[in-house]
Amino acid sequence: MSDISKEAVHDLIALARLNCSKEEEKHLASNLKKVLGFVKTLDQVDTSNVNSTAFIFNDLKLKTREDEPNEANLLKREEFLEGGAPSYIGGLVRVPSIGIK
Amino acid sequence: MFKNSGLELHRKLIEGKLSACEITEYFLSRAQMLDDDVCGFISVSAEKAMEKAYEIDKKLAEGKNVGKLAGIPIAIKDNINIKGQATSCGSKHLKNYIAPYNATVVKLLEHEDAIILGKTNLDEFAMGSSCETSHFGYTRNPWNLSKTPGGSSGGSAAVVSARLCPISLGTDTGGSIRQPAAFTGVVGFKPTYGRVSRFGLVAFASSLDQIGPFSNSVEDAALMMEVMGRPCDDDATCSDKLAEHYLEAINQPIQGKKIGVPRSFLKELSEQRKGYFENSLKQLEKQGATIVEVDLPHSEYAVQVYYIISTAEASTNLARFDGVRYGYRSEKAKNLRDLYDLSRTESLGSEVKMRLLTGTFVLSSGHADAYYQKAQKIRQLIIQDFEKAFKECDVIAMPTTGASAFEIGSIEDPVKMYLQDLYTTSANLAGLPAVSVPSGFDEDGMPLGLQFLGPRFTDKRVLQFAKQFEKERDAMPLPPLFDKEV
Repeated sequence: MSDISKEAVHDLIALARLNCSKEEEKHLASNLKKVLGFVKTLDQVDTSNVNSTAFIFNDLKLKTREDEPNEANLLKREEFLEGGAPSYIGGLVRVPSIGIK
Repeated sequence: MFKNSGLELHRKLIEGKLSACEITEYFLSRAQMLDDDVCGFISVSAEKAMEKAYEIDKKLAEGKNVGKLAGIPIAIKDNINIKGQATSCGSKHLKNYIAPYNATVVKLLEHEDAIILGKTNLDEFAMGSSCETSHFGYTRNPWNLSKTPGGSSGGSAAVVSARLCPISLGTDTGGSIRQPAAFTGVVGFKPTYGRVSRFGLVAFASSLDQIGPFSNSVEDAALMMEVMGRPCDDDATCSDKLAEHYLEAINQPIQGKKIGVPRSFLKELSEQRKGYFENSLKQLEKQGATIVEVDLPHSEYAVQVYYIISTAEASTNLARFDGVRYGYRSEKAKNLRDLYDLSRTESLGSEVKMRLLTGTFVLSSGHADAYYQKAQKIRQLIIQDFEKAFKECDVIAMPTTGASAFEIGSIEDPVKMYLQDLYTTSANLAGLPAVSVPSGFDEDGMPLGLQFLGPRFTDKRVLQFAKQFEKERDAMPLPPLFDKEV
């Protein structure tokens, strides 16, 4: 069983850009322990002769294109902002100040 | 009219027996009368659907050609963008998000004159196997309303099963099309990774996600693949292979073909479930196919590998939901860091948070080798097993799920829920085409699914086996609650 401390869970929550109540933290920690215990069974598999690669489909040639906007997919600034930006001013998205915690 | 397949409706339109307006009005009113029972739709776009129907009828009246999907009502899973309509992903975070562009699949469907009826319910961000984690509430199984339709594409499965429309689109990351298809007694197809464009699909796990159809006949799935299976310049992972003719190919008999069965992988099946599966194999043998045994020794680890890779990719993909440019924004935030943290915390559900946490953990320094890299290596072993197995057979057959649909609220343990995907995740990890086709009923009268998997880019062959099986199988009844006019 993989063990993970309360502090580690707290740090992880911050890393994932979440902010949970003590109760929610406890619930997440208990589920995380179960899941990590479950996936830990992979240790049984011998992988010493396998190379690690994230891209595994050799029959797919990843396409590249010039780094230029595709006119057909171009989204107008106003359309984007008015379409659902939570807050905007002068054609720009508005956020609170960076501030100091 | 509700008993017609998509292709049957299309043919009746072309023959002048039905108009597009008649078909659309009929299915809109059916959805309005019956969807309260299944809750498959998140939104219905009646006005837009009727506009499209008028346009098709006008074209026909003027003697113009119409597209391959003309007159066919289709529902779209709510994680695929339709310009000007909400794409909620079943999440509070995107509840008010209006998509500013069309997904490629939506463009292709509209180009072929499909009538898009609305958007369907899903587990939040497609993370789940029961459609229980949606912000918009549960979707129910048309065969038994106290059971789940499976997930994550539960809404797309339920609306096709209840005949609220003949065809829908879902997405499959670890079984999210095939498991709900099996649970609701419909056909569900996950194409080869790279066969269908994902431009305009909200990403969950980018090395696994695929868009595919639900339908009541394999023929309709083949029709959808003729339209959707083609190159796309906007998706770098979409193959350049040209579109293919599926409708002809699926009618080829399977006489003399070899079907691989990974018996040792299926050892956990109950005796009863094993019996149902063996009956399906017997039928295939009667049709002239030979059953051979194949070995997939690493597939028993597929769910664990899937959970590490999918949560890792999800934690990266979902980082974009930070409340800055679109989506939910917390009103409590006083500074930028709080804006990220609070917007995400207040708007994401607990299963999504759980997976983001798992993904963050398996990628974090100190753990990435033991978890993420280890999983990537075993993923390769799973792929190698399949490559070896396909030297011995044309397709592999397995049950889609270990059991039929479960009661809503009955699975609380996350690991038990994840194991729902035991027989489906390996196809995603290996990027293979896989279809679930209804194979009968269990002792409780709930539908079961049979799954065929093929080598990469043998989508036609996989659908051919499903079609040939469907042809000889007993006729599939409709869910009794929905076998009625309204």
